[in-house]
Amino acid sequence: MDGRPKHSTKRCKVRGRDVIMEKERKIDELKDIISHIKNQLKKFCTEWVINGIYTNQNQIRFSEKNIDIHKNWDATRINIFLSKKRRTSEITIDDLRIKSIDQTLKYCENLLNSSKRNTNFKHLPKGPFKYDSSIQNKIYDENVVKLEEHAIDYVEKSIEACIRQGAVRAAGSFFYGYLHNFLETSEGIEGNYKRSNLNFRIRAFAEDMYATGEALTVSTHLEKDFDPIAAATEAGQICKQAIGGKKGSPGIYNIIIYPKVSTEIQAPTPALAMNKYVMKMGLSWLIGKKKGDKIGNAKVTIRDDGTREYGLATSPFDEEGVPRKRTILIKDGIIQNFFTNTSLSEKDEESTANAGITIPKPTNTVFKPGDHTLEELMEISEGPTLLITSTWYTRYQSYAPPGVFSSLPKDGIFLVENHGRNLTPLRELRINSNQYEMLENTIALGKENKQVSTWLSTSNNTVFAPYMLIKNIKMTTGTK
Amino acid sequence: MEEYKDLAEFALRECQEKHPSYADVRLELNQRDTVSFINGKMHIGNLPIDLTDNAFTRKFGLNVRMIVNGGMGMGTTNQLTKESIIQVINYAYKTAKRNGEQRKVPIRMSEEEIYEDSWKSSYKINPTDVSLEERIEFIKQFFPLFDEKYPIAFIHVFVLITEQRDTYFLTSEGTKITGHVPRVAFIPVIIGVQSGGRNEQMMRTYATSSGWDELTSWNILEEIRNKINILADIVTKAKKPPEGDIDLILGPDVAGIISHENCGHPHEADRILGREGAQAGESYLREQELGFKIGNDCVNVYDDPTIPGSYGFYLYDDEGVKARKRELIKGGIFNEMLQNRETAAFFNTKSNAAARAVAYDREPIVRMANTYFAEGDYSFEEMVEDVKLGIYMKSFTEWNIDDKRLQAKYVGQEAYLIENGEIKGLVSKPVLEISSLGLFTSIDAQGDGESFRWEGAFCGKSEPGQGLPVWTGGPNIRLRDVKLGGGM
Repeated sequence: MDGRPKHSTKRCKVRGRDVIMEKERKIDELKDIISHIKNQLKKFCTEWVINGIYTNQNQIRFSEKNIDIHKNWDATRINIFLSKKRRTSEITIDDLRIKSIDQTLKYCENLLNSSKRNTNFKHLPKGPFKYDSSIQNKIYDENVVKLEEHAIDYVEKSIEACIRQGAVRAAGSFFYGYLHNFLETSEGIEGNYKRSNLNFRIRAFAEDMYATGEALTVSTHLEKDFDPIAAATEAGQICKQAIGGKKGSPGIYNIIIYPKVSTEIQAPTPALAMNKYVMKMGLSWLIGKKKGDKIGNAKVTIRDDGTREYGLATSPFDEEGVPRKRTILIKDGIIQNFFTNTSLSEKDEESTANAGITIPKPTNTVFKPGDHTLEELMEISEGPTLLITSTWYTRYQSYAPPGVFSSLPKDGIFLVENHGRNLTPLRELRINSNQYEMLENTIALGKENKQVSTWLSTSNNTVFAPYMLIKNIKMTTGTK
Repeated sequence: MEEYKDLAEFALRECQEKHPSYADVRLELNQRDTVSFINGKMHIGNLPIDLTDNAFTRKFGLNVRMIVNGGMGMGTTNQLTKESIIQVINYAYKTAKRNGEQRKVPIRMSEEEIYEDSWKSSYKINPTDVSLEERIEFIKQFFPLFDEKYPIAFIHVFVLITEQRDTYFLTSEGTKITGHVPRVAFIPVIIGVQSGGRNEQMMRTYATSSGWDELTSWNILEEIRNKINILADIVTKAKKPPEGDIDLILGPDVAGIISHENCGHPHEADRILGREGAQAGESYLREQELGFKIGNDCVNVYDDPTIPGSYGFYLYDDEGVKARKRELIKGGIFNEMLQNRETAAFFNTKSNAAARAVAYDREPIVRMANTYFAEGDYSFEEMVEDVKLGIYMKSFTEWNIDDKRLQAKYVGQEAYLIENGEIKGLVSKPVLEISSLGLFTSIDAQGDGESFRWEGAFCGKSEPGQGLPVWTGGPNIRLRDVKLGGGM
């Protein structure tokens, strides 16, 4: 990538060797702790899963063009699932004192003895499994491990790029790091993997307090789909274009959304409501819907994909050790599957490899792209149309059908006029809709997916989404 | 905890050997258990949607912050060996120094009094000592409520969170504070569903730092029984609300959330300075000075961490500053921001002890504690009697607010029509969509102490997120001449 910050390869190697030695020492300690816990669990559990994670993460936070803080987290964490004759519990331990671990496990034993049988838990999957070895290379980049404090170079260059576009201030954060994950179960499953992560987000500000723009770039690899300077440039451009926005008029609009908006308003159905456990508990707005039912426009196809290259939620196996899969959730607007784990799978079904053992978890939610450019989406939209680059604070009236919510566009929002030849900045509009409308009214999609994972998103997972055109959405505004 | 204090002191000495302009060390132990029942079935672990995370955790670790060359570095570890701690300190030092080279304005901490002290909340029964059996029995008492005959069906989730936080905090200036606070929160979520589609979702948070005995002394059972009946009435009987300009009386729950969202957050000095620009956002007060007229003279909104038993209780913040009440809006005036030491130094003032962190692996940033509208002197009857056409919005469901905390939306849940000074029937989901300034300048009356009540909540801010325990509260408040319906 042109303009990518450079740092000395020589220094990097020296630093990298120290880091790797220290990392290996901590991983050895983690293995010792796992072994200790395993011996304890064998004494009172009929089934168990130990998931040990060593992680080293960093965040550089910046605002007003200045770096506010560099944070480093060096942590070892053990997630344990325990079952005694189908009485179950889960616990996260990052108090690593052996005495404390033993007390906690004793507490868990008492807890299992006091609790009732978990009727949602049937059994853990039997191993061993064979894992796709190619996944490891798709999710781990040793260069991220060696990045250390030189990550600041990316931040400095990006702030400069943002300001060059006309922003007067820039704020954001750069998360980067890696983890090593070790899994062992009572059913003969053992596996491990390592994954690196990069998540850069920047927000540009103008003198006009309503003129802001935000963009992000997300990957597992420094050289693959990770481009902070392009993100900074995009944020700066949106900000500049948003200057002078007037309060928008309430009404019904077609909306064209940027990929990251989908994490707030499009992805909650495939990532939350299509969770088998959530369905079973009656906490999904899809309650009453089943496979074969229509839930979206024929243009809408969505899968859960735990194998996607460079995906932040990609791994060789799920939390009970089942090899990750690609599962079509919605095809041409029709429900195909709900994502699930071993225990919640129906008799004639396999797990979709989405454990969480108590509650399934989504991996990467992947929309099937369409065949339009952003310009074409603006061209084909008939009637009043808004281009929405960002939204936040999505809140639901109820989790019951149809999932009524509102969400607040927070950065550049534009009235698309003359089929996209004019973009007029607006402000202070609010999306009012429901989750059924979101998928049913999606009438066209962009031709390229972008990986997005945003701060506090309601879908709370990684999404690969294109631009989307959604028709007939109610927009409101403040009355005083 | 006690046997690890030496290690925290070792960490501080290691920091000081590097001669930073400031360093602090926080050793922290967090314990949290969550027991839930979904539709009567016990659930141990995290809950779906956004009800809980880290349901059942044991956390113990160390946080180090250093200011070097005007830049700040922070490192955390839960591997409590001298070797790991030295590594964390070296890295925090290195990154702080590098950040300082980039910054145009060096980071400073405000000058504050130095304390050596310890504090804890007052309680008889520590919630973390309560047996699982007793916690289960507490929740089960609510199940028979759903055996009664109702015209609608219910989905119900009951969540009980018991936790404890212990801290040992040291600074390079000599502050040494030990803190201890157990907390308990009980969260019922009830969805009333009518066959054919209409539904309504209710959530409450009963929370305290005064122990298990305090929680169990509250008459929650009767309150939930009443709520279930009201939900059934809302779903089956509520009518369309009136249109046009009306008067609006907001109940204490709605007043509480407004005090938090429209006042507390925008008064956070880090937002005003732009430090949360890419996270929680900035503030409509960014371009205003203290003394700016935000609302009518009767409007007083305060925040106070020192309220005994409160969910947001503390006596020293996570920078060792002694806690006190903060008068955010006083007589309708922008009177005081929430400050930590970093923001206070920028404004050449003192911190008012608003630095909070949720665990050892989080940065202390500017936060609220217990935010509320102060009592006025109106009885409910006096508020209602001269309303010709209005709504009494007693509670709320969906809400949101923009990142400058200017444009807010509150959708009423239990809401009644008021006609000619009389409370009439239920109305369905009235929508108040209004700016903060429009809201505060519409208030003409705050209720007396009889209507005042607190509600527990988890305030979200920061990246990575820090859901912090707080109370929100207030009496009834009355708004004149507002238009419902989101401008449509």
